Amino acid sequence: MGAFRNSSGGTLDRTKRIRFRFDGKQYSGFQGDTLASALLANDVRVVGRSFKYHRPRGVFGMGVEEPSAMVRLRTGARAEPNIRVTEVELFDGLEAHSQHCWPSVNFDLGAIANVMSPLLPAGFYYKTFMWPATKWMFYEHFIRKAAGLGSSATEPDPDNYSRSYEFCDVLIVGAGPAGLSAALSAASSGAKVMLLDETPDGGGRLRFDDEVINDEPADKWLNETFRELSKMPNFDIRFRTTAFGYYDQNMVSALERVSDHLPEPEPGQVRQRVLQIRAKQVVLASGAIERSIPFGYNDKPGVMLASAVRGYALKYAVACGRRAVVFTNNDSAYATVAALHAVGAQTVAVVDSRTQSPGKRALEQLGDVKLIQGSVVMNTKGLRSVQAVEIGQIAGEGDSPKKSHTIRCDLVCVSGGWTPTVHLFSHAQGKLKFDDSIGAFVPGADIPALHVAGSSNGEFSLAACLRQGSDAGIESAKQAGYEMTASVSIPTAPEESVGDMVPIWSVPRMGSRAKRFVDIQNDVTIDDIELAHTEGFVSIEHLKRYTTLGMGTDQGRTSNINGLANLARLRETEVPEVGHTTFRPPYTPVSLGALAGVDFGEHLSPVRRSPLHQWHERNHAHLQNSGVWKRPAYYPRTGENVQDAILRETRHVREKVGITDVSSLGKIDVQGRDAAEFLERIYINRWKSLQIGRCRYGVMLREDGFVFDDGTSTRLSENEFYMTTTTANAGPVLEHMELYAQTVWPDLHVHLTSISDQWAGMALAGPFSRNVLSSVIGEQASNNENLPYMGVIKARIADVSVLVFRVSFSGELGYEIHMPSRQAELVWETILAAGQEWEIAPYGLEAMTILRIEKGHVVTAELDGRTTAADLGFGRMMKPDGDYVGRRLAERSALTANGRKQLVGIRSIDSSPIPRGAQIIAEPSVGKPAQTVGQVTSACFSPHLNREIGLALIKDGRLIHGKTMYAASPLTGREVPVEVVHPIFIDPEGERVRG
Amino acid sequence: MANRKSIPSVLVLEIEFSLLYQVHGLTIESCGNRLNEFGVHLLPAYGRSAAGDDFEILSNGPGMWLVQSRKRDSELTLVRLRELLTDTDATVTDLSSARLTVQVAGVSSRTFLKKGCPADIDSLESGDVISSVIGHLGATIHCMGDEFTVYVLQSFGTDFWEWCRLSTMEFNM
Repeated sequence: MGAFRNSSGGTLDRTKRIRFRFDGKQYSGFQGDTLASALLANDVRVVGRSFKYHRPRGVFGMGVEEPSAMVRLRTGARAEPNIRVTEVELFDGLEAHSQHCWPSVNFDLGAIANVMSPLLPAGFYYKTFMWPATKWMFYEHFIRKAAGLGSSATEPDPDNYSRSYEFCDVLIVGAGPAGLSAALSAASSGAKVMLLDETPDGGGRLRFDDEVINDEPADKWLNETFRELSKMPNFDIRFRTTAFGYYDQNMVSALERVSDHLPEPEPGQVRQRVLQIRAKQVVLASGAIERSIPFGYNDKPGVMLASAVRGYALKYAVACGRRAVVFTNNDSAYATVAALHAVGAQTVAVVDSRTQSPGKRALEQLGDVKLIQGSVVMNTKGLRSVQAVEIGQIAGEGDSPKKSHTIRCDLVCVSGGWTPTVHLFSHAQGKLKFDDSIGAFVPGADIPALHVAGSSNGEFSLAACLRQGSDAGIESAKQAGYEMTASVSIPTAPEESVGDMVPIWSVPRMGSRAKRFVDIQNDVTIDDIELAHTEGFVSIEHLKRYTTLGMGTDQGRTSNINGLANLARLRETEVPEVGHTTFRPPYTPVSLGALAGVDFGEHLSPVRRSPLHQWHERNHAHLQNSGVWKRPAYYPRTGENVQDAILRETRHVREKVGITDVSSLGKIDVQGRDAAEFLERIYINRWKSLQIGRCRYGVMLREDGFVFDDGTSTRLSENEFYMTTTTANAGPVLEHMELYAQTVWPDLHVHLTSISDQWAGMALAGPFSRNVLSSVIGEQASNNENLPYMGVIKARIADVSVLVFRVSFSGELGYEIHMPSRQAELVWETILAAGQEWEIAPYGLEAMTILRIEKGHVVTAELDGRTTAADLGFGRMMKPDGDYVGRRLAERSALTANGRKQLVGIRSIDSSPIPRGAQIIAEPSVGKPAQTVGQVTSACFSPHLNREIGLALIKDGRLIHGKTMYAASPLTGREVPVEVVHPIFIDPEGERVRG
Repeated sequence: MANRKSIPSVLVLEIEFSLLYQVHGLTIESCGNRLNEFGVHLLPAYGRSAAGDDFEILSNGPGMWLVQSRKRDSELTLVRLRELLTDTDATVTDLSSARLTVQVAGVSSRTFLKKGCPADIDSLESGDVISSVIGHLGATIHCMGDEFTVYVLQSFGTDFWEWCRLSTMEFNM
């Protein structure tokens, strides 16, 4: 017999009985229970096993501080490990399983680790598994199997997650007395106030502690406050919401658990939502967490935080044991005596380590329970849970305790003082200072737009919490630009004298072998800290990593201060000298699903689709990613493999006529009376002389003189140019030009607008391309006279206004036809229908690549940011007079000297495929390191030439045409002999494109 | 503040504009009364919009204006608009095919937009225009009370619709 539920009391709805299963066994609880309170009410004491020693562990806390009672919640795809039972709201059909134990939580074979614990001190595996070094991979397998706590679901997560961007004047974290008081003040100014609380109903300890506010029971004030706030249109409260990170410029991230309290989300409902809150002012009223005292076997089920025992009694009517001993060093734990009494449990004794008397209220709460002052609990007795405690008496300050007697009990309520929750303050780069009076770190220097109030500020009396909260609310509203129009009534509570907390960081062991746990989640003991200190880990950051103190999901909420205070003791210094570890987001674990929201799988990053995308899909194109675009790679026909399809499409363009989608090209409208002058300065070649209705190939450089991008620009009218860029550089080129237009040459009258999405484009190429074009725009319009090479005309196809450019990327007679993207498919279909006579066929990116390599056209592979215009054979385009971006640095000696890599063609001598990305070496390496003189940038099999060809950048390449080099691929071990040739493989005179 | 207890609903519909022009370099002064014949007597302030007889003008950047109309036979053609602004420093670019435009309506329209837009949606008033992102896609948002018009690049249209589909599931759309 241990814990039980009293037949009355608490704030439960006892009319609604809820059934749930733990480790397969059915239990029941009530509406309003947490899984922790329900398990305790059913006297389930062992909930899980510890991380390292597999020691039995029960419920220790009542909320976010719970270090060890964690379970695998739900089953199947919704199963989630390491869930604190203290934060799980009970629902009908809930299933939970203990974790880190086998075959069961009550009989765990892993507990052998506990027997072997003398062999497993801190850092044991760093030392043990070092020899032989080659066996580490063997050890690692078993270490990884033993590590970790729960296991996650392997099925895809079926739930939906969401994100919401919120803005407010004042964000208040924590709806306890300080937070509510702040909310009342701030909201009454008219400021937009947002209040977050991680519990389902807020109120903090006012929900169950016996407190008085404004001379009335605190719960009455609580209800009235919530009622008043809910009427305010400028107030928003989010329950079940944890602020987990505080970032620059008052950006606070929070996790709202929208439907975690339900068996499963309702159809369409999200499970969790991440709030990204940008606040003008932030008030942190995040409370404080009670800490433990390390004494012998202080980890057993039945050892709990005193405040948690009190909470379970008053809120859930659960007595966590029948015979309790309270062990404390401060006044707050005395209230637990009355709470236990209220639910029918007996407090056998209060063991107070202090020699001085507690405050008046504490003495009242003590009643007739025996008070043992100047004493400590030295050790607990019992196999799986507490059955008795050994009491030791301290003769004087600084003396070691001497065992005095044993008390039979099944519950130890421990309170080692309170630690303000300052995690978010630390996230905001706030410096902490140590407050001796409470034995904890509190917020130090002020941070702009951040206010800390109440227990999180180290102020534990209710009166002060209410006062500080109100002050913070008023000040934050004021700093957010709001004036208090009416005087704010600050809620009041009785001022009481409280006895001083006297720190006790650990109870001396005095010959016993009992483990004294500092970090219950990670099984870190006082011995571990002493060992780490002995081995030289005297920095708290080093000690943390060597012992795992304060790591894991718990992040040391109940253990940090005890850990660093014990290190201070060993270093014979003060706690502030030791310092503290760094708190980093998240404050509590956040599911990956919530962080991802809807950005997962195919929605991980945005995808651009051509206006012809649906046509491509309907016609079985194989689509491939090209930057952010989806582009057709090839259109396989029945029975064709990939290579067959690509080569067929390539031959078709060379021999007949093909059409391809080039809508992804960047397009920029350059307008203004200085548009020509602007292009003259952006490109390396001349533009002012370009006639209306003509286009020209242009190259632009970066400021450092290297090639940035290339493309054609067309003069549509005196002051309007239609520029195209490479697909990849559409955005960067526009940004580059905007920067110059706005900041370097603001005197030029020029406006730039991206028209990439306005205009779709398609390239018509092949010997019969003019025939096809003639059939849709007329023979006269498309003849050589009206539409010469690099000419542009406006025409109509299927009653759609189009621009026809006489340009070619393939080296064949070719045209680009651009039209408003909404009409693209109509024009495309019309051309395809008209081209049937000449057997027109679509071709994809792969064929286009082969065609352009055959013609020696460069793309991003060659424009790799390290090549100059001269390297690529564009040196003669660089106008000798007039300035342009990149000119000065393009003329520096390093970019004009001999020995630079130059663009050349290469062709395989022995017909072997040329490895893409291969290095060019002058002689076969024969297995030895060789000096590279260049690299292959593009390679393919040319069906037109019937051989393997490629483009390469080779040192002084233009001087060694005809020479044999080797394309070496160390990754594949291949070295292909290649002949260096001119980069243009077909029609070097350009007769086809001009034909 | 959105009433989170009510059953939310939101409706997202595609709108096809017959014309959408981007005007650059036009100031309130240089515009003068040039658009009077179309019912716009004064260009809106930065970040605001103004309605003409059959079109609207949205300020979408310093000196930048988006002119849009749903009317198929609007007399404000590209040629006419260029004529009207001919002796100003303004330039006009046709973007009638460049944007996917959707209308977002319903009591939860703001809640819906807040799921993907990092701007302060709650602070938008009727007539406000902002340039921001929604679901990682660049967007121009025009507020008309609890109704919004959202413009995104046409090539991202499928992605945007997919984001809308996923993000409206909780609103029972």
